[in-house]
Amino acid sequence: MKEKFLPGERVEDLAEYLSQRYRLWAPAAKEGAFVFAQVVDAGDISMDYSTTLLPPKHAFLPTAEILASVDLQTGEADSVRPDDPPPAIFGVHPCDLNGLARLDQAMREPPADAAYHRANAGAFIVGLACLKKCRPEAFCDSTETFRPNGHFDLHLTPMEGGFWTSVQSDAGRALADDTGLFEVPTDRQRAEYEHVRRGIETTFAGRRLNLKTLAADLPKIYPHRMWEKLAERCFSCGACTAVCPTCVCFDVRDEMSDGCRTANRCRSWDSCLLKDFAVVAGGENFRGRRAERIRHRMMRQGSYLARRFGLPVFCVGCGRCPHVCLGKISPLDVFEQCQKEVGSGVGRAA
Amino acid sequence: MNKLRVAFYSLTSCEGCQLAFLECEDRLLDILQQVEIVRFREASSYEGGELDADADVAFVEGSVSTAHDESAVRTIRMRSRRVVAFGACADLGGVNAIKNRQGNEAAKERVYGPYSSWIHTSDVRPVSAVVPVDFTLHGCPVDKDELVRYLYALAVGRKPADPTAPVCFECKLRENICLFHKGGTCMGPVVRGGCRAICPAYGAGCDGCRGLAPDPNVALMRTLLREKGLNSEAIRRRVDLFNASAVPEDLRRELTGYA
Ligand code: SF4
Ligand code: SF4
Ligand code: SF4
Ligand code: SF4
Ligand code: SF4
Repeated sequence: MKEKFLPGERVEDLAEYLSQRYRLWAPAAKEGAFVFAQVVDAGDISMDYSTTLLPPKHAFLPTAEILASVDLQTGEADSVRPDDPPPAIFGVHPCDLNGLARLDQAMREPPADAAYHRANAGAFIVGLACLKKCRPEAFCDSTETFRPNGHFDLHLTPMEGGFWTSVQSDAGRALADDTGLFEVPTDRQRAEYEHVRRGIETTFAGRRLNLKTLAADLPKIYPHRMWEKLAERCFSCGACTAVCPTCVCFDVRDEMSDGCRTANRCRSWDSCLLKDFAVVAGGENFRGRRAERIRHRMMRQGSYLARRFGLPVFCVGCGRCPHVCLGKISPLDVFEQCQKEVGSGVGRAA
Repeated sequence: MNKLRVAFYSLTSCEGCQLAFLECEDRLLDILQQVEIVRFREASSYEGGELDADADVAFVEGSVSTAHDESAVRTIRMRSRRVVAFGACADLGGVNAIKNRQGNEAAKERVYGPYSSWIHTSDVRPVSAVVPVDFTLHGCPVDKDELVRYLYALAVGRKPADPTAPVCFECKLRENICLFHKGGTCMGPVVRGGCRAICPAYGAGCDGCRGLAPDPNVALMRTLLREKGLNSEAIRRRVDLFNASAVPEDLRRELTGYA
């Protein structure tokens, strides 16, 4: 990995450079909160944002999209998306970098998702380190996702005078050289960066989970009555999965347009918390009860997909779902309770 | 291909859902390629009888609140292959059903004063309480895009999709700030969405015009509303706006706290 220094006053120039070559997504303010939006003016970017309402996932997997259209008169099918430049996502915090990496793993599993890969092809990702917790509900410390994970082209760490820049990919290297915005870091800057990096480790040292055993612990409490209790606090509204960087489920429906001249295969985000998510042909619902659905989600985030993809935990601790959940359900609390039941927890680490 | 024969009818309502169809101006000509409109009083100068047409699909707007409504909807049912409950009044009873909670005589007296004896009205019922309904278009008023999707699905002989996710789901997808986080209140967690959370998107809490979502956690809803200072009476008013007779009594008790 190569390292560079980006003087603070040039960060807008970097965004500007990206916006000329990519569809630029970046954190921007919305009603006192933040969203990843397609920004036109680099001045609209909020570099010191806390966290966004939705993760940047929708740059690759829109909340609703048309996968293919068929002209019913000519029989011609059209599955090519508009010829947009590839996306660049700017200022992605570590939890979301980890989230994008997990999304990628899930979507690359055979059969790989063609539409996702088209949207992803040639994408450019710029990470942005967090120096402190974005909100009290976040638990990227416990999931150990507060560090960038390599799923980026450039990664910026704020420090005195600018940003320490880690260059990960060939595309990142080429871009860094081409812009002429980056400097060779001085020894003093290197020492300062090391100091910041150690500071991050200290700030995010709290651990409430034992990640070595979590994925194996959760299935042990599958029959526990805690799920019924938890379901009393759940609306089955799906808000938690809607805001989750690691949720990948979608629904596909065929719909007509243009006076039924065109048939469209439409895809939109779905949620395993919704009552009819698991309804199959014949009307059978194999997760018809709320408790079964909230349990499924916790198992999925803490165990099923972690094991499938060789990770300690699939949830990246971004804190979005406990923030939006009106029943105040947090995966951290559930995982912690599980480890208490199983007797494998770490307790509240100092 | 034979065009789908569609009729629009109206019982007790403000006729706003029919208007929603007429407001699809940019798509009306496209729609008419697939659909033949056989009755649509609000949109025509035809002066003959209203209920004398056979239709493939009848969109019935409004609730049943008079003997005339009741006989009309029975006739419509007999002459139509499919019946769609069209909008909140037809679906739930809607705003009209508020009077069910006051009693017919008191409601008549309040509205018509000395002329109340001229008025013949019964308890307000949704269409499905009188005749079988095949499909429902929710909302007050219905969503135009959803309406067009329904028409196209029916025109090609498909069952229209009728999503049941609570309003919160679409609210999150739109990146709205939750009303509860802004100090307001909202019924979205227990209300069936499909409206793209239009009310929260414009800063107003959901009032439930699309009816309850399946399996609603009304106990938790009540707790949240009470935490925000709504007492039983305030919750009852909120529920009764569209759902005075649409929420089963046990859920209603749990939601409002009224015995
Ligand atoms: S856990 Fe919370 S956000 Fe998720 S479905 Fe239940 S109530 Fe909604
Ligand atoms: S489960 Fe919740 S905390 Fe974990 S990644 Fe998803 S939204 Fe974030
Ligand atoms: S959850 Fe952690 S990594 Fe993510 S934005 Fe918050 S502090 Fe940063
Ligand atoms: S504003 Fe209403 S619909 Fe939106 S998330 Fe909050 S409670 Fe749900
Ligand atoms: S947010 Fe609620 S009241 Fe508003 S349109 Fe949707 S269901 Fe109706």
